Amino acid sequence: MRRFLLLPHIKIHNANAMSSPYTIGFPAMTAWLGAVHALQRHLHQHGLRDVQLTGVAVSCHQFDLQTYKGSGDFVHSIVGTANPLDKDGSRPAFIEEARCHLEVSLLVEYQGLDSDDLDQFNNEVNTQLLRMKFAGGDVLSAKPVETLAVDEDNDQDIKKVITKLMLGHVLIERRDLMMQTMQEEGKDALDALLDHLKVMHRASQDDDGKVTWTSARKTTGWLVPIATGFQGISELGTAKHQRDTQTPHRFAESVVTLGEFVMPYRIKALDDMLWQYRVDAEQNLYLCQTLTTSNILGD
Amino acid sequence: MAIKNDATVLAFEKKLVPSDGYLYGTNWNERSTSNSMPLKLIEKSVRGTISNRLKPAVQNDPLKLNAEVEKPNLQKVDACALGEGQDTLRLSFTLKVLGGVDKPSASNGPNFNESYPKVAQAYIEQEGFNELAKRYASNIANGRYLWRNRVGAEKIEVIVNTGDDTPLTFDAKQFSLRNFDSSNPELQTLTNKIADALSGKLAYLLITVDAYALVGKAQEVYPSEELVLDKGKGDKSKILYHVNDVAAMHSQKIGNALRTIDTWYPDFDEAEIGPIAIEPYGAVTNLGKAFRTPKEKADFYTLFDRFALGEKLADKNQEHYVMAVLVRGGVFGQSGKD
Repeated sequence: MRRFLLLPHIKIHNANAMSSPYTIGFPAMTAWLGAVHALQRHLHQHGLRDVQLTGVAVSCHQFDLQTYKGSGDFVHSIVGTANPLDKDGSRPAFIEEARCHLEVSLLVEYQGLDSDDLDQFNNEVNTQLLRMKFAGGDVLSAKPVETLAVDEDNDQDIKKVITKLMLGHVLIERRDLMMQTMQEEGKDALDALLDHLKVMHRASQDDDGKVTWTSARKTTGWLVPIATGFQGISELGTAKHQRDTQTPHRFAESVVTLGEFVMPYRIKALDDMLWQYRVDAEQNLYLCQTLTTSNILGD
Repeated sequence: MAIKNDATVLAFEKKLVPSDGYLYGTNWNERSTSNSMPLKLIEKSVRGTISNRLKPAVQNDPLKLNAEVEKPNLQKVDACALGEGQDTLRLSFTLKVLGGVDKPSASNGPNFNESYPKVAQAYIEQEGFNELAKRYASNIANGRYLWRNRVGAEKIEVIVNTGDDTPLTFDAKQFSLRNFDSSNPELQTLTNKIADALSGKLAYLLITVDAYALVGKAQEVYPSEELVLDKGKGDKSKILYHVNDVAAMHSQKIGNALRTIDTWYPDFDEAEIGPIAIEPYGAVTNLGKAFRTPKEKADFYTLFDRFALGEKLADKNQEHYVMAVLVRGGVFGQSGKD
C-alpha cells in the first residue's frame, strides 16, 4: 500500500519560468521538490514530526507563459516588469525575468503518518498551501487536499489516482533518451540534448517529381529541456556571506536533461512520474530524478 | 559604536498578495443581479496625426511643415471598451493577506536574526497593525486600484467579500484619496480582519473585491499595458494585458494602489500630491521622483538598519513606514564588500 497526498488545482501566478539556465518554459523540477520540502519542514514544526514527503508528481493543467509575439514576428519576446525608481529618481535597468501563470496538481507520496493524525495533517496542509510560494509564484487558490491509499497491484487503484491528475500533462524524465544517444552515437551531452530538440525538415521527391516536405523531431513526444539539479564544482567549505552559516557551501552548476510531458492516462507505473531527491556524494551530484530512472540506473 | 546590520542575504515575501484584476462590462442598474460579460481587447488601426514638437526649421517653413504633417502616421494599437449596451465597468480581484512579517524568508545575519524578531513582535504587540490595516482597507474602499478608470466615473461601488456571509459594501466616492480620515463600521470590520491577518492571529485572509464604476455607455476602459521591450517586426505600438481573452490589470498595479498609504514622507505638505506608494526610496514613477532620499535620512534602509537592531526611531510614523515596506516585501540585503 502506498499513500499519497493530492494537492489539486493550485493556481499560481507570476512564477519563475526558467526551466533551465538556458530555456524558459515550465518551472524547473527543483522548484516543485523544493516547495514540497518546505511543506514537510512546516509539518515537522507543527507536531507531525515523522511525516516524510518522499516523492512528487506534477501535473500541469494550464500554462500561460508571459511572452508576446506580434503578427509577423519571428521570435517571442518576454513581457517584462518595471522596477521602482532608484534613490535619485532615475529609472533602473530593465531586468528580463520570464514569468508564467499556471495551474498544477501535485501528487505527493508520504510515509510515517499515524492515521490518528490524518485530520491534522489535512488541515495543516490546507492552511499552509495558501501561505506558500511555488517556483517563486503566489498561490491564488487551491482546492481542498485529498489523501489516497493506492495498492500498486491493483490497476483500478492506479487508474483512480491518475484520473485525478487529468486533464493535464505530467512531466517525466527522459534521461534514458539522452544516454541512448550518447552511447549509440558517441555524442556529448549537449549534442544529444539538441539532437532531440531540433526539428528536421526533409524533402522527398516522388516518381512524378513532386516534392513534399516533412518536419519531424528525432523521437516523437513532447520533449523539453529541464534542469533537474546541480553538479558541485568546488569543494565543500564556507564562503563569505553565504546564505546559511550553519551549512557547508559549495559552488554548483545546473544539470540539464530531457523531460517529456505526457497525458497521465499514458502512465503505466506511478514510479514513472514520481520525482525524488538523490544525492551522489562521490560524483558531487545533487539531483531530482524519477524513481524509474533511479531503477534503470541501478541505484 | 553601534552594532551593524550584518545581513547580506535578506529578503521578505510580500504579505499583501493581490491577484490580477479582471475587467467585465455590465449595467449599473442590474449590477447585482445580471451576469457581467468579460471585456475583450480590440485591435485598432488608426491614422494618427503628426503632433509631436517639430524642429524650429520645420516649424517656421510652411512648405516643410505641410509636407511633415501630411504623412499618415499609421498606428496599430490595442484598446478596450464597454459594449454598446453597457455603462458600468466591473473590476474583480482577490487579495490574500498573510502574517509572519517577523520572519524574513531569507537572512544570514546573526545579529540581525537575534534582534529583528523581537523588534517586529514588539511592534505587532503595540500597534497590532491597526494603522496600516486601516489605510489598506481605505484603499480597498476608495477604489484607488481602478486607476484611470476611476477618473470621471459617476458612481463607484466596491463590494468586498471577506469570507463571512455578509459582503461589505462601500460607496467609493465617500472615501478620500488624499487622506485616511474617513471611518465607518464596515471599514472598521475590514480593518480588523486585515490587522488580524497581518499580525498572525489569522492563518491567512482571502478577500474578493468587486468594484463597479459607472463610466458611461460604450466608454473606453483601461486595462494594464504590457511592457514588451524588444518585440520583433510586429507593428503594434500598444499592447494591453489579457488573461484567457479577458482584459486584465496586472497584479503589481493593484498592489501598488493598495500600498499607496505613505503620508509620512518629508515633502508631504509641500508636494500636495497626497499619499504615495510604499517604496524603499519613496519612488513615484509618473513624476520620475524619489521622495525619500538617503540624503534626508528618510529612506527605508537608513531607518530599517536602526529599527531592526532595536534602536528607537524618531516617531511612530517612521515605524509604520518601515513595517509597511516589510509588508510590501523585497530583497534588502546589503553589499558584503565593505
